[in-house]
Amino acid sequence: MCVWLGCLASYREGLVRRLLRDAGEVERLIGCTSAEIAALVTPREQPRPPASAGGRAGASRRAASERGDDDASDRRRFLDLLALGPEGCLRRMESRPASDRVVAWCDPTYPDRLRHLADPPLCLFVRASCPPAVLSRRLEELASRPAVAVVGTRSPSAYGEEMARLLGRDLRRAGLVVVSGLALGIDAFGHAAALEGCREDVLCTVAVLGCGADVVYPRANTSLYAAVSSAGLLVSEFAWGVPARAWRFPARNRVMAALSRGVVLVEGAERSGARITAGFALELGREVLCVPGEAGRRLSAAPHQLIREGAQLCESATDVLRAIAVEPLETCGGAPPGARAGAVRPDVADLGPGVARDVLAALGASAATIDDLVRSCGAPAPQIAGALGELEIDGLVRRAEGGLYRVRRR
Amino acid sequence: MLAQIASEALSGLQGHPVEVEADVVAAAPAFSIVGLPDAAVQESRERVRAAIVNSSFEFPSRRITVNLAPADLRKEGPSFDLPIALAFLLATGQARDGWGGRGRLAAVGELGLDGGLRPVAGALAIAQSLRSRGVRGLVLPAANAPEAALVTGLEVYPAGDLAEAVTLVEAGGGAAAAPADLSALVATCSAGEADFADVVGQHQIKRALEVAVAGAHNVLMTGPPGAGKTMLARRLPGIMPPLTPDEAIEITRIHSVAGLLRDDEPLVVRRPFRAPHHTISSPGLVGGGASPRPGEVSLAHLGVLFLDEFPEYRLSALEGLRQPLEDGEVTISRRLTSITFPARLMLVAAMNPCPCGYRGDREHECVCPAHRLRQYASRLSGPLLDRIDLRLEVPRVPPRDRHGAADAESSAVIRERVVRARRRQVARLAGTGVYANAHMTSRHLRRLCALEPEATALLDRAYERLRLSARGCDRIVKVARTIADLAGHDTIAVEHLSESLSYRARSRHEA
Repeated sequence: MCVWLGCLASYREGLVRRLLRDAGEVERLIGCTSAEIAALVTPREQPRPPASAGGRAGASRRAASERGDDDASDRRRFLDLLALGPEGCLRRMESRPASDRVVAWCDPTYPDRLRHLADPPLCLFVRASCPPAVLSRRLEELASRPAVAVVGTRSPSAYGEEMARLLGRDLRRAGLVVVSGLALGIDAFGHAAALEGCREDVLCTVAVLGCGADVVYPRANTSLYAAVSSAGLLVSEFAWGVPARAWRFPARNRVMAALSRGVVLVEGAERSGARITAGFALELGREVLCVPGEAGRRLSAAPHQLIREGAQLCESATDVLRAIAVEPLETCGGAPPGARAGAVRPDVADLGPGVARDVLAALGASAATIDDLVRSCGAPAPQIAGALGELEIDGLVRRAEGGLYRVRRR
Repeated sequence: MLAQIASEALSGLQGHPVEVEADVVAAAPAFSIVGLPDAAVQESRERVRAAIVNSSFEFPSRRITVNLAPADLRKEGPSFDLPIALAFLLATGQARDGWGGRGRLAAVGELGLDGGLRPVAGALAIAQSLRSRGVRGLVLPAANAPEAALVTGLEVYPAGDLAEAVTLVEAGGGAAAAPADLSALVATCSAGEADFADVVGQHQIKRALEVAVAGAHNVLMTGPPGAGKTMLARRLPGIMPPLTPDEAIEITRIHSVAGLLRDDEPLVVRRPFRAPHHTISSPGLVGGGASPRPGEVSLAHLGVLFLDEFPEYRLSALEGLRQPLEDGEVTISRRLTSITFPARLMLVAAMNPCPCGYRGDREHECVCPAHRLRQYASRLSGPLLDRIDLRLEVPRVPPRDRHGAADAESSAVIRERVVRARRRQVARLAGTGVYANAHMTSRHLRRLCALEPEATALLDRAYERLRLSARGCDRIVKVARTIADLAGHDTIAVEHLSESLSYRARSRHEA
């Protein structure tokens, strides 16, 4: 029954919420017979009048008609499912490959954290290309281990990319599960960093999708999708094969927020989807953290607005751990994150006196171009360039965009 | 009666001897030109007829046949007007050959209807080719004389119109143009108005460009609009070593063939700086056309080819650059011939870091979506980038640096260091067929670029840590060799190598 309702809800926005309004609680809803459900659902299923086309521009008419097509296909599948009934739906699920699994409300591996939602997904569709036993273990880990969502813009700056990678890596090292949405930009960097050097037996990252868990969207993330599938979990509340639609992404964000103990927003413009995630997190009582950006930048708008409204500041994984009150685990591969970025800076004192030392000291204060360093260190450009070349090989500094050099954070 | 006079046809920079023969017989009046003439040569009948009549000569009512031998070589352009007219006058007995024999005197020039002579393209190449064939004298339009006079061993006779030309032919000599003093002309070259001392700040980029010029390395500059990329590039010819007389002649020859020589400057004494717009076609850039003309790469021979907005050029044009960058020349094949133009240039490319131009800038914010960034970067192919040794990121000069800092070095000072470094390279590379570090092959690198032990260790470490490719490593060693040359070192030390490392491309994976 859960699976059937879950599938039905994949095609109709807000279905579970409406049903719960009538039924009161999930257990009672599940207890209904299929005929009762059908009776609750069908009255709304009157064919809608076609979108009026008169007086609209061609483009918007086309967009409207496409939306109409999408609606129609969703409606058709919805009706098919309704006719199929719970048993037929379950039978259909049995023919899925071993990598695909459905976790229903009543399953013990269903994450309890999702039960807090006002309109929880009645089942989760999960995919991971690993043996069934491993998949079960990963599901248990998802339900038991603390998770943190790393979200943000789809077109980040170099700084945003760096912070997303840093957080993804350090949170995973601290033993947390990194949750994100497998979108381009911050999501992708967060996933990728969490996957890097992760151990086989520990769940590192979970991607919550706004389409069926077997659908790769966006296509540009195909290789990342495969990587998450083999080392993490792909999770969706939407049934197999459900295509991506605009309304499904806010819904996906609600699951992401619910699964996590805290949400970290890295970069976002004023109207960012990541703000929706943060909004859900607040409603659910999850911690919201924001990585600050440069004042006045477009991509700093969302995090700064949230900070203004009381979100916590996040400079490194340590801030996240403190906010959600989790002790870092030593056992999760890689060193635990440093206390603060500053404390693990390569020690200036380790270097002998010379240009390299001056350069490193100057870069410790702020990122700089070679010309800036020529001024602050008083050495000629060739010497500075040489010192930077060596520091770069030693992994102490790195080159950023625009001819800037930065101290490499560990 | 039959008469003949020597002339010259050019295909590309290569001259081919042409004998212009005229025959006049008593028959039905006609005037025909044979010997594979093109349209411009066919039209020369009308110009020659008018010029002869308007110069107070007779145009008899006879059958006149002009043959341009050899008959299988295509003749193009108006430069045969003068030899045709002279052969005609000799054949009709209106002029007498005072030179006494075949092959002593040659003529080129375009005629106006009034008998005046107009300049032709490629006079220098024509004169050089005539001299090598042992021709003694050349009659040509006065405007071409200074250019042709650069060739020693050939008497150059400038003529203002057809009548003057006839006088010169009859006299068997006369007032030849004074041969030009090449070294004096070359010495007149100043460093130019654009001086590196004008560039405020940008110490790193100036230094990197000095290295680039010293080793003839190609450069790619990436930076936001207003960073000064064009300003810096324009100053590069000024720090390149002064032209030798031979180099000046080489450049002049190409510019003369392209018809770009200035009246007041018979010899190109400054290294060329060519900056074609990014809408240029592939033949325009590398050369081509029905009768192949040198492209921008050849016009930039021994100078700088500056391509601003590098990724905006047509892909075909960019890919066409690969061969000239590799071989130092361009070969254009046509049905009957294949023509080679020299193209030993220094490529200086400039681009914005992203389509909007402000990625990584400290004051502006980039608004490019990720897929546009990928598209922009992917327009430059790996093989093309492989030929660019130095990749520089040019930041904008911060406002506080825009004033003051008057201690910048002048181009002349930098040029001296470059000349010294080049001299070391020429000495070391003697016998290898290349003259600058940038052109070394990996075999030369292994044989001629000794690294000090610590430098070898550093390179190994860099190879591992920075995940360099083998080619990337070669580029770093080449540039390090140039830095060592600037410093006067025989082996590459750690500081040379580490400086070279800072001029390499930032890899896309470095987060």
